[in-house]
Order: sequence, then structure tokens, then C-alpha cells
Amino acid sequence: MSILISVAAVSLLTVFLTILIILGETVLANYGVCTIDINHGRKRLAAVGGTTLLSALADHEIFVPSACGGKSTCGLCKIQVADNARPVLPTEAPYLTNAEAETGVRLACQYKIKSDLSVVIPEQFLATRRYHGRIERITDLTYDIKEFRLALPPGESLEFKAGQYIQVETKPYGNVKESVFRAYSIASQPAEQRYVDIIVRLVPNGICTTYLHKYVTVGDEISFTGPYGDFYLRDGADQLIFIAGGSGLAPIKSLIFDILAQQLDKNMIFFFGAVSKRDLYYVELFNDLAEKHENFTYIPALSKPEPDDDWDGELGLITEVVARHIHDGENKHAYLCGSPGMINACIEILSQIGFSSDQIFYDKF
Amino acid sequence: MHKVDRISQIEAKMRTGVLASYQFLGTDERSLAEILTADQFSVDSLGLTHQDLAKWLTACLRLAEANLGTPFAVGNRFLIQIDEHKGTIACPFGDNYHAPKRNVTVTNLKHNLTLCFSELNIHLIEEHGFYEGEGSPYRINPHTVVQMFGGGQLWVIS
Repeated sequence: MSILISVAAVSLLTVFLTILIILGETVLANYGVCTIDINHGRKRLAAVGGTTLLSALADHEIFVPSACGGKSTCGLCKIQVADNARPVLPTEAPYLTNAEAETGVRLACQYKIKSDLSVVIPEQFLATRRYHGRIERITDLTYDIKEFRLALPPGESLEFKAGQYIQVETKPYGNVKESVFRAYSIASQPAEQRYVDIIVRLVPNGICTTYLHKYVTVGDEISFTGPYGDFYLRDGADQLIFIAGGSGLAPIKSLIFDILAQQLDKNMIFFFGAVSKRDLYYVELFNDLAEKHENFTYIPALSKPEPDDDWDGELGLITEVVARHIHDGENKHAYLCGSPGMINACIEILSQIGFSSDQIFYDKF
Repeated sequence: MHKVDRISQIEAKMRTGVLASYQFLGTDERSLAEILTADQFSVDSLGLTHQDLAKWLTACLRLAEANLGTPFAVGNRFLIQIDEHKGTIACPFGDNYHAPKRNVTVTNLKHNLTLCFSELNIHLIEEHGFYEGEGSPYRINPHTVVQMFGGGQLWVIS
């Protein structure tokens, strides 16, 4: 009996203290309306003190990428507080390097606005928007990869550079009670502003990919923000090496089609790595492209074809295949998209071949 | 925060889809504390530690990651494959650990046993002695790990 009374007393005390803290935050910690200066006067916003930078910016339609919706579990929403940044919170520390922490980089979802402040954010965030699209088409590309066409509302358009990505928002479903955001590269071309295509590989038990693969259908509304990312075509090389695996084909497809549409004077080789034939997709599309364009070569490669795959194409890990075809980094840029392991392995092999780090581009989600 | 409240919070997180679309506790009706205690007992009875089991799983992961998703054989004992996705998943114990989304499937060809585990599993076992609840797709039975890698075959992996 005495244990029960003790537990009840501790519980009541906890509730009382919690209420006290909330009241204290509301009444005593009233920071009023604060001003956020963005990029040294480029923009000035009014924000209610006490809110986080992430939500204050979102209230003004500035969408800083965040996959977790502000719970400090993704570490994506880094921005720089220009002066007098408060000390790093324990919830931020795992995501910040020492150099970032020292230069005022903080997680926007954890940084509460308590006074006027200046922040520096990538200029492209000022051009991001929230869109309420509709699923126009779902295509099965392989047994675990689907392509979704998200049509924009009439009159709206999304301007982006080939290679960039959007952040798709899920709705609660099944056991998942909260919305989350996940990044997906745009597979369609910038010229097609009426819709965006994304390619999604099912992550076993993943929140967003399960939602998209199993809980949405044609006609459903889907919200997303964007465009984001600095994975886009750079000047400085006439020969472009594209390497992708799985759903990493998406931004590469956008880049290749955009380069061909613009008739840029580039020679392109596209390496696509898969385990067996069932992991390949868009083979006909890229083979046709290679037939029509002399400056484009398509090299799909299998690392372990099934006996009945009847495969007479390139064999081996994608790194081995790349090493067989590319012998130096002269006048070349490489664009990589795929799993982190594949990207790391490709960076290593390209470095051995003679590529410097400023000749290799990739998105790390 | 009170320790009991903290455990309750962790348990609540494990019973909902906050971090993943599945529940870390699966359909297990036991409390988190009961699951941890039962698995601790299992590991003790095997004469091993959580770190021993985690070490074997880590060895598999290290072998698998070099093969970029291609299944490969280790001698004639094991078939190992890694399945890697973008992004990370947070540890539900709130220690700010984020595991890359990587799953490893190991098949013991001799015993025809298959074990699938994630990189997060390794952390949960090593740091928290947590093997997930019954019914979770990532539940790992400590005895299965020993069946898989024990019996004189451990040298192949380690």
C-alpha cells in the first residue's frame, strides 16, 4: 500500500511540475514578436518568440529540409545562426561537427527563437514551396520499385534543376500516427513543369516507402516541398560518367534527358548496377536513347545474374565495371546516386582512377 | 526524469510507429522490462554476453558491405547478402544513435538456417541488450544467433 501511495505521490508531483514548467514558459518566458534576418538582409520575417526556427520559417513558406518533422532524429535542418548562437543542445550535438558548432550551425528544429536573430540559409531554400499534388500514375518498375507521377494543381508549376529532389510528406496510417517527410529525387525533366516523377524503392518496414507502396493510390492527394539539392550539372567537363543503382536512377534519368533535350555538347556514359535481371528497369528506354544519340552510352551490369537471366552484358560489381571502362579522370565529371555503400565504393574507385573530389558529385540523403 | 517514466516513454515509442512502420515490441504483450530481463536470462544461460552476439553480427555486416548487395558465400558454410537503403533510423532508447538503413541476411547452409538483422539490431543488442519483442519483423532470438554461428563454425566469421 505504501508503495502505491509513493508512486501516486511521485506521479502527482511530476504532473504538477510539468504544468508549472508549461505555465512558466507561457507566462514568464514571453519573448514577444522577434525578427529573423535572413542572409544579411535578403529577407526579414516576424516570428512569435518561443517557436522553433524550423516552424517559424515554414510559417513564412520557407521550407528547410527535414525528414523527421522537427523531432531531431534526422539532422537535416541545419542552418547557420549568424551571431551569438546559443550553446549546442544535447539533442543537436550528434548531428554537428565541431567546425559547424563553432560557426553557429544549429538544427532549426531545436533552436527556439528568444530574441531577434540573423540566420544564413542556402539561397535555394527561399525559392522552395509547398505543393499539393495528386497521384496521376503509379508504375511498377521492378518487384520492389515503383514510379509515382505527382501532378501539380492546374496553373501551378515546379521549376527545378535536373538532379534536384523534393520532400514528400506522408499522412498517418496503420501504426504510424504522425506525418514524416522523406527526400526523393525527381526523375522527370525540368521541361515538364506540370508534374514530377519520383522513383521509390520499398524499404522493408520503412515509414514513407511503405506508405507510398501500400497505402496510396491514383487520385490521392500528396503534399511535398521543394525543390532542394545541389546535385545538378556543373560546368567544366565534356565527358560525364553517371553511375547509379536501385532508385538512384531517378536523378540520373532527369540529368541525361535534360542534357539531350538541351543538345549540350557532352559525351555521356551511364553505368547502372544491379544484382540480377529482375533488378533492372528502363533498359529499353536507355537502349533506345543510346541508339538515337551517338554521345550517349548505356552500360547496365549485373553482379550475380540468375541462371535463367540469359545475360550476355557486363558482369561484376559496378565498381569493377567502371574500372574496366574508365581509365582516367581527364576532362570528366562523375555523378553518382544509389545506396551510401555504393557511393562510397564508387568514390574510392574513381579516386584510384584519377578523379579528384571536385570531379565527383553525389547526393547524400 | 524519473527512471520509470523514462522507460514508459521508451516503451510507448516502441509500441507505435514513430520511428518505423513496425513496432519494436511487435505483438509481445510483455512489458519492455520483462522482455529485457528474459533475454538477459537467455544470454546468461548461453554463457555469453550481448557484446559477444553483437560482435558476430558485426562481423557479418563488415563482410557483407564490401559486396554492395551481391550475395556471396563464406566458404561452404554461409551465404551473406546486404540490402542497403538511403537514410538512417534512430535508436528508440533515445541515445541519439542513428543506424544506416542496412539489413543483412545470413544463411547457414549446413543447418539451413536464415537470420535477417539490421544494423540497428546490432546497436540495440550491444548497447541495450534489446532483441525486440515477439512478432517484430526484426526480433532476434539469442539462441538462433548461437545456432547460426556457434558449434565450431564461429571461426569462419570472426
